[in-house]
Amino acid sequence: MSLFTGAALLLSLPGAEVERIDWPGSLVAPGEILAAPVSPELRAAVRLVWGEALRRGMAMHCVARPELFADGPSRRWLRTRAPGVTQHLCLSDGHAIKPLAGLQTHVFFYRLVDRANMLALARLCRRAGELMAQVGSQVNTHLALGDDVDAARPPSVLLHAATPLEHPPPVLLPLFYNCNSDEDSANRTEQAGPVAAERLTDAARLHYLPLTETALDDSAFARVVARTVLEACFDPTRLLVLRLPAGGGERTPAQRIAAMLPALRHSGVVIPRASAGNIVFATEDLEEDHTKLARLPRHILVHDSFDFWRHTPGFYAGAEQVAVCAGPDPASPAHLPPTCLPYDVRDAYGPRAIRRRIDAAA
Amino acid sequence: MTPIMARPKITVDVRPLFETHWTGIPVFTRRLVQALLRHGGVEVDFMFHLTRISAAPVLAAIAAGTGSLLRQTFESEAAFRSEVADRSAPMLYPSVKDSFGVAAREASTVHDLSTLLMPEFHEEANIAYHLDTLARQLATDDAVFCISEATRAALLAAFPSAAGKARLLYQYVDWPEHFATVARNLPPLRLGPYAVVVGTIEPRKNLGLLLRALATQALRRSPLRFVVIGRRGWKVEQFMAELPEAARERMLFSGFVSEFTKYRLIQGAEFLVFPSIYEGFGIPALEAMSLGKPVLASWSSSLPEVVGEAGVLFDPLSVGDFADALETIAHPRKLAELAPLARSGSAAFTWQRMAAPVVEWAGG
Amino acid sequence: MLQGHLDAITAAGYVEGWAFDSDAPLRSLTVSVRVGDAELAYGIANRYRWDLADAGCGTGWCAFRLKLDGAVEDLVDRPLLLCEAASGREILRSPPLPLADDSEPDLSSLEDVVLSDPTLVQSIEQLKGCGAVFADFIAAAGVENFVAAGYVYVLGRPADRQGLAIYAAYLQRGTITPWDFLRALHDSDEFRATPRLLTAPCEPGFVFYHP
Repeated sequence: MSLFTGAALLLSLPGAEVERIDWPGSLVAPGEILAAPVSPELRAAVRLVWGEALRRGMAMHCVARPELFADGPSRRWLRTRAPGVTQHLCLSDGHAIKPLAGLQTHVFFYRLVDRANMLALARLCRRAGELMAQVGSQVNTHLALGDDVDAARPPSVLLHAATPLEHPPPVLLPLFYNCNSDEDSANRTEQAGPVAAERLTDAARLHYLPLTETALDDSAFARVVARTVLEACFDPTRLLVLRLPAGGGERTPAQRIAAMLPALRHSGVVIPRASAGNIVFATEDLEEDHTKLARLPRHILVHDSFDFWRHTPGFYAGAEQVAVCAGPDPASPAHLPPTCLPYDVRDAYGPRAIRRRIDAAA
Repeated sequence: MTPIMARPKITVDVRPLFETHWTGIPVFTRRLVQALLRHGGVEVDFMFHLTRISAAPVLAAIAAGTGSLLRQTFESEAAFRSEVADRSAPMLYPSVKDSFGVAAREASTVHDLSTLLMPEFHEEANIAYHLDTLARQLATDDAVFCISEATRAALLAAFPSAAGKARLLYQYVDWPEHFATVARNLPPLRLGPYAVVVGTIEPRKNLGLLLRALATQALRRSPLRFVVIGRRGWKVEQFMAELPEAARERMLFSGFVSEFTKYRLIQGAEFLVFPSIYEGFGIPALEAMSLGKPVLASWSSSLPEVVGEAGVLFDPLSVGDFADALETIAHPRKLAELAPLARSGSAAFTWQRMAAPVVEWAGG
Repeated sequence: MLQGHLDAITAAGYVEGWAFDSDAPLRSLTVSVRVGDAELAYGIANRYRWDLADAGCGTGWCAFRLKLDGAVEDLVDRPLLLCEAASGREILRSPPLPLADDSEPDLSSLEDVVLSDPTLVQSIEQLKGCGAVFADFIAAAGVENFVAAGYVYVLGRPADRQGLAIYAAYLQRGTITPWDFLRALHDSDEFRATPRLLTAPCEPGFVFYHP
């Protein structure tokens, strides 16, 4: 049965973020989650699903811990407070998928861009293949939940964001590249300080690469990123913006830069130290509103694992090109993925999206 | 003359009994061994890492309540002269199985699915220990025993292929017989009215719910104090420091105590508070019920199944619901109504009931 | 042989005394106190008294303080009978007992409750009277097994090879007594760092019980 079926939908939250919320009870309205100190990604995911539910005339209830509802009194309690629910959407960070007996379980992996979460999902798929087989559908991902030919392949349901993910304004920092020391590269960037967006608007074109830990773990993609950096070094008319991976915890921009540079360093692509100042890091997503940078013609390059729903369809539609990188990577460590299944990238990124195949040999 | 039927034989893996301190799974294993020996319907043999262990050291460990002597025995030279376990007999693992497809018939025991469903409460090493081989364990099991219906349901929700082999294995309470006699002759407790609390500040045990509830009207009105059986711990100190003094004075921590002191504290209480977010069974509830004490428990996981009619249930995430439920159970009329239900509810969990499904399985 | 004594009736309604079986000093007797056929009190003689240990009354863990059914005033001038409860065997016929002040207050704090626990040893000195028990254990199981059991009992772990060898040698030579050995473990830095609850001799979990 499809995800948006019935009078109401039950949405459950991942355990790691449940602990941050001061729950008034096991079942709450979506508005309480949106007002709570959860991660921007979780808030955006809840808003996305709630918006779709409302559009379809469905109510939505949020439950902290579906694992509590074993049987008997707890299930009756839930049925009384959430009548008409047949479908359960589990918001998962990859560490757990929590079925709720009596309901069809669907899953929304809302933060697999973090390496730890993607690795956790890979372990979960190996450990609990039967559980994966029961997932009715997956929201905004196209994953095979396991490595073998029998791995579950739940159908994908794509939900597009009406508003971009909330975040502080991005701070733009210049790239300094020392191939011998990531720390030195990061420190020089930190010492140089932020770059005002106004100083970058002379570029003919903006190339935007939102990077994630999971994407940079794909060595073929890391090579593509490194070559894109190299091309920008020789083309000052091109403004290249590298959105830094979020990672976890309270890391400084310098720490985040130092953490992602090894992927470039190990790519085998030589990147010069010389800089024309046209390559910058961004600490947050590029804003979609009409800032000066947003007006530049833009090319967007993403990895298959990117959460397209961080931006609105309008953001992609306004680009000259959206390239989605995908391909086999025999050099990737064996522990990577669940595999991303083939899909029409235009369904996620709009009519300007193309699939760009990458492989280890290139 | 009717031939005497030989008893079926079963080999029990006693790895859990090798722990120094026995809580949870080691105590479950001890009860299981004692129930099977008492039942007499199977001939019980013991093993550790597929090496046969004679009954004497196992029974000595059970008498002493620790596995330290057992470890000492097993690491002695004698262990290397021992035999391998009898693979022709069914092998029973009271917890995680560490060998697969060795015996013709094997059974393991699933206590809860918290490593799968609540990984945020576990270290990765513990998750790996329980989950890396679970699928293989289930595939090679002839039977898989689940310590509650809730655990069984959770197991089948994640591993439906185990449906045909998942069986219930309820444990029981076995206070030493002499406790009642000793307790009756001790001076009475004069701690004022109190509820005894099972829980620590660790998130799964949810003691924080009670601490937050102390600020509610209902609890401020109540004369009850709360005796937490167990160590205070540094996290509790942090929590307590944030409470007003009047609230702090109502919380008493016993520290690590003997089984007898635990028995006395439960016996002297008005009721048991069990706010746990998730349990595989909930033996503290049964312990309290066996002494005629009603239970104020969360309605989560296995607790309703164990508490039955002998308590008042609440939403484990709702301070308000907890406060209302406490006000309900603390009323003298409610306590009087529930006390006999507590005893009768506990009496349904017996050593016979624990032994029976294993004896039935062993008999083929 | 069963031995015992009734010491006093207390104002709070308890009868105090002691009883033990000299042939099985670790087996606590369950006793009853009677007037005629009427049972007034019932319980286990498993409490420690240093004077009983000093006098060689079993291990010293043989005292009792039993709650009386009935008014104290009705009992102070009546002879009482101390019996072993299981067999009904008479241990002692006592003349009327004196009325004593109560030696034990009610338990008004958690600390009091913990200290009143008769299933635990409150001080290592309380094992001084167990010399015969330790000797029996050594005779039956050997000195190395005694040392091994001692480590488990006090420190909660198997004996390390060095400790096992050293203490076994000392015990065999008679340089130290079994109690000295247990006291040494009890006074060690390891025990001080992580103190443990020590089971009382009459409890089933006492590791030196050797049937």
